[in-house]
Formats: sequence, structure tokens, C-alpha cells
Amino acid sequence: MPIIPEPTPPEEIERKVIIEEFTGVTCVNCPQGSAEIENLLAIYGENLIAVSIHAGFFAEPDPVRNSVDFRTPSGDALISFLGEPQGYPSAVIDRKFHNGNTSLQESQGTWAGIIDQELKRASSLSLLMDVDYDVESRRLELDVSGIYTDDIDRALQISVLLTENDVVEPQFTPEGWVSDYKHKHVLRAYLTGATGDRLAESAETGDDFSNSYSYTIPAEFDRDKMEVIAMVHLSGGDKDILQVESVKLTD
Amino acid sequence: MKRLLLLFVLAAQVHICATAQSTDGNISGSLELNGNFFIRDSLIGAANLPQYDRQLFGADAWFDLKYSNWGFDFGVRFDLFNNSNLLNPQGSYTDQGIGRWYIRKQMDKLGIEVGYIYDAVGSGLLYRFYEERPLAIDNALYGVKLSYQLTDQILVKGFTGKQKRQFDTYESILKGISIEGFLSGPEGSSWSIAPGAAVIHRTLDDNTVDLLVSTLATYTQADRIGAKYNTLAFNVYNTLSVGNFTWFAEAGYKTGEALFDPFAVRTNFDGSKSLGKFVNTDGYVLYSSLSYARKGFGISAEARRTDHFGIRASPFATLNQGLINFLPPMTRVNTYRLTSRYAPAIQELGEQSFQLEARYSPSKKVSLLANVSSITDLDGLLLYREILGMVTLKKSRKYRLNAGLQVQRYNQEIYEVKPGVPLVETVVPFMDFSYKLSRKKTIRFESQYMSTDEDFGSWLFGLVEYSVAPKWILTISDMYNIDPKKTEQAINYYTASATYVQGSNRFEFGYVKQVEGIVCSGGICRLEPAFNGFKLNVRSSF
Repeated sequence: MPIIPEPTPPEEIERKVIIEEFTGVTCVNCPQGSAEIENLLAIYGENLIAVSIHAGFFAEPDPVRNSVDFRTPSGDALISFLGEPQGYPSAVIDRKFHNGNTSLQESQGTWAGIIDQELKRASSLSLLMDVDYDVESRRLELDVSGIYTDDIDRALQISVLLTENDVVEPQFTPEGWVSDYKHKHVLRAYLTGATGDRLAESAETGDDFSNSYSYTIPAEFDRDKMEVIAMVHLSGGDKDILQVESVKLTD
Repeated sequence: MKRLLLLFVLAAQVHICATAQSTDGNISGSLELNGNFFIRDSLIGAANLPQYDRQLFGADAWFDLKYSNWGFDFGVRFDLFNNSNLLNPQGSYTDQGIGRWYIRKQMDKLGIEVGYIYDAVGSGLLYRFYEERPLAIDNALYGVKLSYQLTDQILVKGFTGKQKRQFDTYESILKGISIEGFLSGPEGSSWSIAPGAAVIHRTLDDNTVDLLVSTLATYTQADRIGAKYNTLAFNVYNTLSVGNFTWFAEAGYKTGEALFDPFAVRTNFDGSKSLGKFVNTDGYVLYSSLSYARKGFGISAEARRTDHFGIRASPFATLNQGLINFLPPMTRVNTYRLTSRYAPAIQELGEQSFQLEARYSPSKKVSLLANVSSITDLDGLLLYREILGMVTLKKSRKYRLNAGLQVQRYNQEIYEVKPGVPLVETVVPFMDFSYKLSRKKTIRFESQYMSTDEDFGSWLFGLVEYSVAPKWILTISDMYNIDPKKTEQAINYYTASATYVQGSNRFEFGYVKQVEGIVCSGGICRLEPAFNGFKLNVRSSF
């Protein structure tokens, strides 16, 4: 008989999950992927963190319609690092291989199921973020600290990045060009290297760390719509993200 | 499994050494190797891929070995992919290992096969386990197959197993049974029938169903559907031959399952709508063909209607992955560069097509061909239309000329997922002339012109091939974008290659500059980026 499902209840959620979507202003199918992510954010709230990376063939701005280029050097490095999408919409979830897939990139149909399952997976570290922002100098001061709740025998990297939400810029959709399209959680900058900075060569239960970062937010970015994200991930062939945390800059 | 393999290979070798005089054993094999050397060319779009940026070399190889003895057939194949762009044309894939092994035994009426099995029922409409190397399709069934010759006229087959997925398998369990028969009229009559029927059943594994359930849990109440473990599909077919007529009819049906429909409208939590969701749907396919053939004249017509008839090993498999069934192409498989540039990919979600072909040879020297095909979706939207006419003139052992005209309408918006682009309309006159210069030397000229205002614009193609039998073939060709609509300047896409044939070994080396396009092999297509660089192909059989 058919099985009628229910979403995972909050008490079963063990961690936060990050979905890194690859998109572009001329990518006609991508808006439906973005809508899917908004749906998932509505269900999982702060337990799901999303980044939209404008990189690849469809991220090249249209010479006539676009006045802004959302591509970043870190985005270009990431699409090569994580692997090119086979089709769009495409996203990487926790930088893990799911369901025997040989690529980190997943197509839209699989995102919801993978995220639901990822949320139930126990985490091996907890992250804390402390953010301080000076309005006059536009300077962001950030402390990222964490405690390991498991032994990890691999080298670890830390990535810290900034996204900006609701950026208005024309987007190609199945209905044609939409000039007042709101781009969600656009990747704006990496405070570490695009593939992360080395955090530790290994870790044991109870080990902790604390790193500080600072960044001056450029005038063209709207601070109120920005979010800073920190994640700890494995280094090497497996790139699994162990834990992710984010703070919105509105206070 | 590896130990078992090693054991019987060793046993086989020992047996050969020990019985050097015996001719029972028979060993044969083949090698296929492709090497690509990538050279960056951002002007044509051959860039920003790992192979062009840093890897520079990619290779795929398949090494096959077959051994027969004691009434058994053994086979093993080693597959290699090094930085290969075959699996995902936009990425890089590296893995190697035993890609296939099998053991077969025929005992009187019962046949047993275990390992990685290639098989199909009828035209493959229900299931077809096969490989298509240029598209990295290898969906062999990893399991057991039994066949039993019930009577002289009736063959029954059954199988169970999992579908291969590169060096692993999909977790769903497939099982099926088929029955094929053949009956012909008494001595002196000219009729025969070949009916058949088959059933295939797929049970999804717990992991996949859990994932499906998790996905469906995120849908609003309006879109919620249930997830099922089991899906059943069956087909019946028959070939009736009477005199010069042959009539083939086939019908297939699949029970409902959760399928991802990229065009289904979904209600989001904030009330807005977007596209793409899992829907619960059954599917069917109807196909029939009628042909008449006699000396010097043949005509055939076929029609097919497909509605959500795609059977995959997993509801999450997309594009060319996890395909269990095969819908044969309903349009002419063209071989010339420009006549095959726009080839329609089968739309398993909904398609209606027909094809008509007539061949007439008034004499040994002249033959005429006309072909018409048309594909629409189930709402009547035109997807593809082609009319082709060709004349062949030949003087045996001296020359052969093929000349003709192809007119196409190709819905690029649907086939290449490029919304908003206009219907591509092409007119392609073509000619192919081969002339025997001497007993061993032959020269061939090929030329086509594609006249179109859409996509890249018009093209001119020319090829010269010089062969010295049996060893050498030298080819040079150029595809010139004579009226560019996508690039600022007209670009030449040229290739030059040399092929050396020595016995049953074939070596081909050449320089290739190729425009991006659809590559279709046996009705399955995909979009491939431009290529610039050197290619090496080795084919050998022993």
C-alpha cells in the first residue's frame, strides 16, 4: 500500500545542513530550484542554510539586460572544486556523495529527501558564532568557535562566507526576462580561501578551537540582508561538511 | 567475488597449459581504447572544464576476454576511465576495475547465465540491458537469467537481479519473465507469426523509499502523494508475416509510481507556484509497423504513442542513468555530419510519432529513397519533422554516388531545454561520392550545406577520404559556419585523421575541433560541449 509521509519532527533534528546551489542569471530552469529551496527553508527554518553560487556558463551576465555580475573568484573556484553540474537546477548538500552518486552535484528532485535525511545524522562538532558590526566603518568582526564531540582522523578545513539576500537584478525565467527578480542568498565573499583554510590536522572529542575574522562590507552590499556562514569540513577526496552555523546581520 | 574470479582464471590457465594438445578450450577477446588530449579553445567554448583547465588528458578503455570450454562460456571485462568526459560531458570521471563478468551454460533445453547480463525482450520496449559506450550507458543486469526451450516453438526466459551503475549497482530489485513463440504455416504457405509477452517487476529498496518519503514530506497537502515499493510493467507483441507483408504490433503498460515530472505545477508554502514535483502516474505505449518488400521495391510505415512509459531503476535517476526500458528511435538515423546535427531525443513522458519510408530500385545502378517522419507531444505541439529524399547511382567497382535533400523542423526549445528559442528549420542538400582509383585505392568526397536562420546559422561541410586497402585511411574534413548567428566570426571546425588497419587491429589518430551539439547513439541523446584536441582510438580483437 502507498505510504503517506510526514516531515521529520524538530526533536529528531541533530544538526544544521547547508545547501550550495549553483545558478546563473541566464539559467532559465534555476528559478524553480530557488523556489524549491525557499520551500525547504520555510519547513526547516534555521536548521537549513542556503547559498546561491553564481558560477559556470549560465552565470555570465547578459550584456544588454544585466548591470551587475554576481560571479566571484571564490564561486568560480568552487564550481571547479565541487564539480560541474550535469544539468540545472543543481545543488551540493553538505558536500557529500548521496545515494551512490559519483558527483557531489544533485538535481532538484533529490534535494528534499537528502536534506531530511542529513538533518537526522548526528554531528561531530558544535559551532558557535559571535558577530560584531560597526555601522560607521562597515567593519564586521567575527569569532568562530567550536567543540568536537567525536574523534576525527582527517585534516579539517574551515570556510567562512557572506551572502546577501533579496538582491534585485534581471533573471531569465520560463516566462522570459523578469527585471525585478529577487535573488536569494547570493554568495558575495569568502573570508577564508574558497576551499577553506586549514583548521586542524585531526581532532579528538573535547578539543576546541577559536578563530577570528574581520571584513569591511563594501558600500554596494546591503548589510541588513546579509548573513555570515561558517562551516567545518574535511580536506581531501571526501569533502563532507561536519557542521555549519550562520548569523544574520540584522540586529 | 574477486577471489572467485581469480580462481577460475587461474584454473583456466592451468587447464590450457596442462592440455596443450586439446582443442576444447577457446579464448578470444577485444580491446577498445579512446584517448583524448584536450587543448583549450575558449572561442568555441572548449574551456572551463577540468580537462581543459588542468587535466589535459582523458582516456576510456574496455578490455574483454572470453573463454569457452567444458560446455561453459566465461567472460570478463576490465573497464578503465581516467579523467574521462564520457559519463558527464561537463565533468571528469575516474574509476577502473572489473566492469563485467559472466558464466553461461546451456544444458539441453535449459540455459543458465549468471553475472552481468545483456538481454532484451522484443524491441526493448519493456526491458533492454545493453551497453552504448559512446554515451557511457552500461545498464547490464547483475543477477541470474534462466531460459527454457519449452517446445521447438516456444522459449521462456526469466531473470532476477539489480541494474549495474558504473562499478556498483542500483539497490532496487528487478525481476521478469518473458515468453516468445514462433509458428509458421505448413509447407508451401507463406505465413508466420512470432508472438511474445513479458512482465517486469521492480521493488525499490528501503533506502530509496525513505528518500522518496522524505522528499514527499516536504510537499504541501495539495501535492502530497504516496510512495510505493512495487511497480509492475508488462507488454505483448506480435509479428505477422504474410507473403511480402510484415505487420508488427506492440503494447505496454506500467502501473502507477512516483515519477519526477519537471513540468508539473507545484504549490509552494507561501502560495506561489513553481515547476517540478513528483507525481503519481501510470504509463503506456502503443506501437505498430507495417511493411511490404519485394525485389526492387520496399515500403514501411510505423507509428507510436508514448505516455509516461519510462522505467528506471530509481525514481531519482535522470538523463541517461538507470534506464531499464528502451524506446527505439522513430526517425531516420542519419549518418552525415550535417544531416545528423539535429537529432530528436526520445521523450518518454509523452510523445506521438510516425515514420514512412519507401525504397525503389528500377535497376541495379539506380535506387531511390524517400523518408518522412514526424514527432509531436501528446498535446499536438510539433517536436520534430523530417522529409528526406535520396538518389543512389552506382557503377559496381567503379563509383557510387549518393545525393539528396533533407528538410527538418526541430523544436530546440524542448529538446535542448532552451526556452524561448525559435523552431529550427533546416534545408540540407547533401552528396557523397566515392570513386575507385585503382584496385586498392579509393577516394571519397562528401559535402553538405545546411541552410538555416536559427541556432548557429548556416553551415558548409566538406570531407575528403583517401583509402589504400587494406591498411590506410586518411581523412580531412571541415565544418564551416558560413553564416554565423551565434559567434561574431565564422569559425572553421576541422578534423584531420589517419587510420591504420593491420589485421584485426585498428589505430586511428587525429586532430579534432568539434562544435557543441547533441550526440545521439541509438535514439538516446545528450548535449556535449565543444571539443578541441587530439584523439587516439585503438580497436583490436584477438
